[in-house]
Amino acid sequence: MPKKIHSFSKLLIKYLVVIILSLIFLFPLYWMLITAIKPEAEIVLFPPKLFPWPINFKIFGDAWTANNFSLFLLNTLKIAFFNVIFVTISSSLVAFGFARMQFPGKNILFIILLATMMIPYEVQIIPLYIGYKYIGWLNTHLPLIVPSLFSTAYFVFFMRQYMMGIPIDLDEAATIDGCGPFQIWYRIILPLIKPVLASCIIFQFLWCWNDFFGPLIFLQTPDKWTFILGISALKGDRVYIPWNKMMAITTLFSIPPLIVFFLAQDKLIGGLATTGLKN
Amino acid sequence: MKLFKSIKSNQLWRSYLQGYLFILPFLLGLIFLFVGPTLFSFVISLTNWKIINKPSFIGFENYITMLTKDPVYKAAFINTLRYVIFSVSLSLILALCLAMLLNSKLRGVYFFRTLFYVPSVISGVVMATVWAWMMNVDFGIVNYFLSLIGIQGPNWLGDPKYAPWTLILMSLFNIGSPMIIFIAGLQNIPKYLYESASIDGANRIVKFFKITLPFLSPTILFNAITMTINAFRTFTQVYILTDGKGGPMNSTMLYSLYLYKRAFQYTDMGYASAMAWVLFLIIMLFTIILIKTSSIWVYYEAERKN
Repeated sequence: MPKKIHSFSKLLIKYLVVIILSLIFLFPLYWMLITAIKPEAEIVLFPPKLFPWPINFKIFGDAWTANNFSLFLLNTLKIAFFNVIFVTISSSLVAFGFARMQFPGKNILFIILLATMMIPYEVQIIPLYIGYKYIGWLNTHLPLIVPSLFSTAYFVFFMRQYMMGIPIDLDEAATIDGCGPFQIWYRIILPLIKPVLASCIIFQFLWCWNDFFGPLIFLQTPDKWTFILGISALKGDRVYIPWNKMMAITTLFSIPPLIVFFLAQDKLIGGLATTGLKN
Repeated sequence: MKLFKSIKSNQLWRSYLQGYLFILPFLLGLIFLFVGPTLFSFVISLTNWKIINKPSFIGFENYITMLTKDPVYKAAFINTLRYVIFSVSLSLILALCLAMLLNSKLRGVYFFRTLFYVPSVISGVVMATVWAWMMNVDFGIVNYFLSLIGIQGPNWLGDPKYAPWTLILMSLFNIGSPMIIFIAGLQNIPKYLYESASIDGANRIVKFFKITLPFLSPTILFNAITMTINAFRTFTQVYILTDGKGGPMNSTMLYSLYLYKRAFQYTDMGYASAMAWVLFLIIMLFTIILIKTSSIWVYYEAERKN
């Protein structure tokens, strides 16, 4: 009996630690939302109120019109849309080549593909900037879209792993039926790797939505800006913008990634869990 | 017979060609997005190109200036090193502790795993904006909490003594992915090891150091490498938190931020390219050190079996 009590109290302590830590972890997001919906006068009230009343929903509309956020949202969605389509198609083609085709130098090229993940983006960004400037792509969305046509090493790696698990008999049977490799990719492999495709689409969407460095460097005039640039511009002159408006717009910005995360958490977290096990 | 052979080799070459066609997107990307720019970047780093002038070849002068004469570079370098060391080691410890807590048979573990992952889904721009508000010296909630326990909160973002630590503190909220990877690693440790250790009378601490840590060491190495690379490249958070200035008094000037300023605010492309190459080499060096020393402290199950 004493042992039971002992393990019960241990469990209680564990729960307590986990709950307190998760409260701390979520507090910034809670405080973002609370600051946004506070009545204007309470923002700089000291001591601050942890639960606001009455709730000020109007702030979201005000924040949305504080800058041209409808346009910024449209720009972001456009870039994300093309990225998601291009990167899944190109990466699955490349992964198919590495998983299913035979050609000289395949292994070395695959190692090179993995090595490209190690080179920091900072090294390429200046020549790319100069190159895009030269061909007149600066301040257009092309530098943020076109690279996705060239596949992403990370996705190629995952898709290849997945394709390696699909029996080769399927390809052979299809070849006998007169399918070329392109048809095998399209009719047999793509339907079978749908779960990985879904993960890649989600990852790429989140990545585009949150990407800050690319838009910051390649986009200049506000008519080309993405959502995130609009936010950083507001933050830049926050002297003129009250904190509740600022927090309202960051709240709105965070809703799509949060929805995507909660709907697809198995895919996101599951994909991560296998990353660490490859060694 | 000869004809047959040539048809066969023709077919072979056709299938090779098809293979290359499939990986063509990668090959083109390799040339235009990686190899070309990387080499070009090195060439630029040997010039004094500022976009407006005609570049002239100046050898390794950019590198020499950077390493001997530029006080801001020196500050950025030291700040980044400090940031990497503290942020990576503290995040690793925190992620491991959380993973061990959440690996137990608590009810609702999955729910808590999701909760701890949430801050990692949120953009760095949003997190930094919220932190700037929470750490505000006059109206920030953090200083209010501190005042409740009788501590006069410092000027987190305005005082060069505290600003770097604000950045490090902020980075500790971003441990979703290493935590999940640690949990996966923990679940791979055979349960019978703990059971037989208990029978031999080993306590918790002994079990942690003799079973958990050795078995988890490959996972620790993987997390340490990816986190170190990411920490060296930290940009968004510090850009937003300090409005792109790296202040006060360059105390939060990190490597990537200084590189960005040199390249895109002063259009000093030669100097910035040299900075990028040094960053590249530093990251390579750290990765190699971690991998080389890993044979000392990483325990591989496969090696034991041999």
